[in-house]
Amino acid sequence: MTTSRTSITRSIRSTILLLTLAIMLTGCSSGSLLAGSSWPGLSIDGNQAYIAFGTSVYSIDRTNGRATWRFPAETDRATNFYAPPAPSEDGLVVVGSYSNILYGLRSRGSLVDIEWTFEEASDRYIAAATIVGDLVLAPNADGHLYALDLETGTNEWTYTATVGNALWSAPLVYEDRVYLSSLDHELYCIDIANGEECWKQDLGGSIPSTPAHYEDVLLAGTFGGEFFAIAIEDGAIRWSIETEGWIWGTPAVAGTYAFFGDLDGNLTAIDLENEGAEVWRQSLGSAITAAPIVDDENVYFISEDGVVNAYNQLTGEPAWGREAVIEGTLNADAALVDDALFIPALGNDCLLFAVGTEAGSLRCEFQPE
Amino acid sequence: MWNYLIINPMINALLFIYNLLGQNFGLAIIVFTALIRLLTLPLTMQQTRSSLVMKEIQSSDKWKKIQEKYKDNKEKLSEEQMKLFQEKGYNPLSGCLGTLIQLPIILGLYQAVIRTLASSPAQLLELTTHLYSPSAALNFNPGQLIPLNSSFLWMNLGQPERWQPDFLPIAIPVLTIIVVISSFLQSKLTMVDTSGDGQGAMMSNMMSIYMPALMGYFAYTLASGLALYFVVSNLLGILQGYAMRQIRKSASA
Repeated sequence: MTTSRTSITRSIRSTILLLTLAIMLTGCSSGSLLAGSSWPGLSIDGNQAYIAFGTSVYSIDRTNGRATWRFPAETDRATNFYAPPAPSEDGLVVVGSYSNILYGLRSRGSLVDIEWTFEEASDRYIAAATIVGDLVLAPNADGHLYALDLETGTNEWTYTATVGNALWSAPLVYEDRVYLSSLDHELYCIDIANGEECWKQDLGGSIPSTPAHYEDVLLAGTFGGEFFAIAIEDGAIRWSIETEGWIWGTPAVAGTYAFFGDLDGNLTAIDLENEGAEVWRQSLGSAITAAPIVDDENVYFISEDGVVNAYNQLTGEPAWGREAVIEGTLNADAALVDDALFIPALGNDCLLFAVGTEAGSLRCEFQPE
Repeated sequence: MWNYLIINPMINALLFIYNLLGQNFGLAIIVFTALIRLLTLPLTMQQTRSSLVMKEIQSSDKWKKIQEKYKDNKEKLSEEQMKLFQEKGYNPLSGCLGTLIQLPIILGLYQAVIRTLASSPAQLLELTTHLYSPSAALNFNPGQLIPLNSSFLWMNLGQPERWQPDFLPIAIPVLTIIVVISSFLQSKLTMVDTSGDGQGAMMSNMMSIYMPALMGYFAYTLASGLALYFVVSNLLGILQGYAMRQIRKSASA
């Protein structure tokens, strides 16, 4: 009887441990730890904005803030989209999913036809595809860059950068070459005609976003805490500077200055004609993952905690009377169209905000139903 | 507090070991699990020791007499039991302590494994908030280690494991099978013998089925990095249980 009581007590204790463990593990698994989550992906083409977020890709008419179509029409919880959609000149929209499928979509009014799918990738599409003429360049997290025919989605060539979890940013195309950043620390140069490698350069840290182009160099920041200028011709490192924090977003270039933000919340302006000498620096205090945006006069920075601000490119002085604050998390790249910044937000009913570049006025551009 | 005390040290320790072991995350998990087992060894030893003392007490004549004498007075029975515990230097809570301390370690390790294998931008950004500053002295720069190489043998440690050789039409969850078998063996080895006791034996037997089933479910559905941890932890637990049994045998001989 007594042994029985002790065994029962022990069993109850073990059961409680297991149940607690089960609840906590499964609780975690349904949350952010395992969920394939990210922030919204935005692209803008004329009056049409495209935004991929969660189970849907929206096409939004910017003149009235309404969705002209949504894909897929019926929500499929197993299929998620976060890569910015890429619209082509003839109206095809190419977008990749977290279910490893790349879609070529064409709208018929409020309906969407799938023109083709490409299903050979083995991992997620995190990066936007780049469309050049009749070619779709689609980097996949499986470490391959797939070049597809725009009309049919058939594979023209494949470049293997690395194996697994590496290609998260859209390729940059300049003249007849493709420049591709990778989390595997390499910056790749690929011949667009045949997918042959022209050069690659190890930058010592992950490069999560597309490089910027300035004259005969590419500009890229890394998780190794460095910012590089790399010769576009042969990949040689022209110069590099150490940075305060890790750099996520693509640098912006205006005149001879480049601007970048880092995960420590610093926004920095450097002089490209003076080997990256710092011109000014501001601290926002919250991580900056979105690429800065420049117009004729100002540079616009968006920080994760929802702050949007404009700074004079030359002096770094704030250009607005007060910063614009969006309730939510801002990690995604924004777009500048006319005199407004279009900023996707996470954790807000409004998925897309427009912020006036003149004074930072704020309005909700699109709220999904 | 949870991040500061458990998650951050575990993530950085995992990365440090990963770096030392030629950037092999599977090996890093194995070594890290062994280290965690080693660190918690005093607790698990204490648990086992306390079970043995309890068993000794229960088989003593004095205990049986108390049970018989105060079978109708539960309050007095409890009081006398406590006295006997004190006499023998047994603390009824000492067994719980090990269990309670293991819980955050298991959860912490699980979260550390999953977080270090960040496979989406939001996860990677979250991971960066847990990393320590680079240390030249330790030759440790977390920024240069990301992303981790999640390939180990035939597995992607960030995904649930399945093995499908060319000649088989279906994928086999090899790690899940090993987790179930090793969990079963471990529970059989570490469970106190309850043969001949109806209710207690039934509960123990049920536990030895439920626990492997639950662990198997976790291994089947969650990242294989965690399943690898379960396998290593179970195998070490089996070794430890076997060693303890041998010690008990030689002590009682």
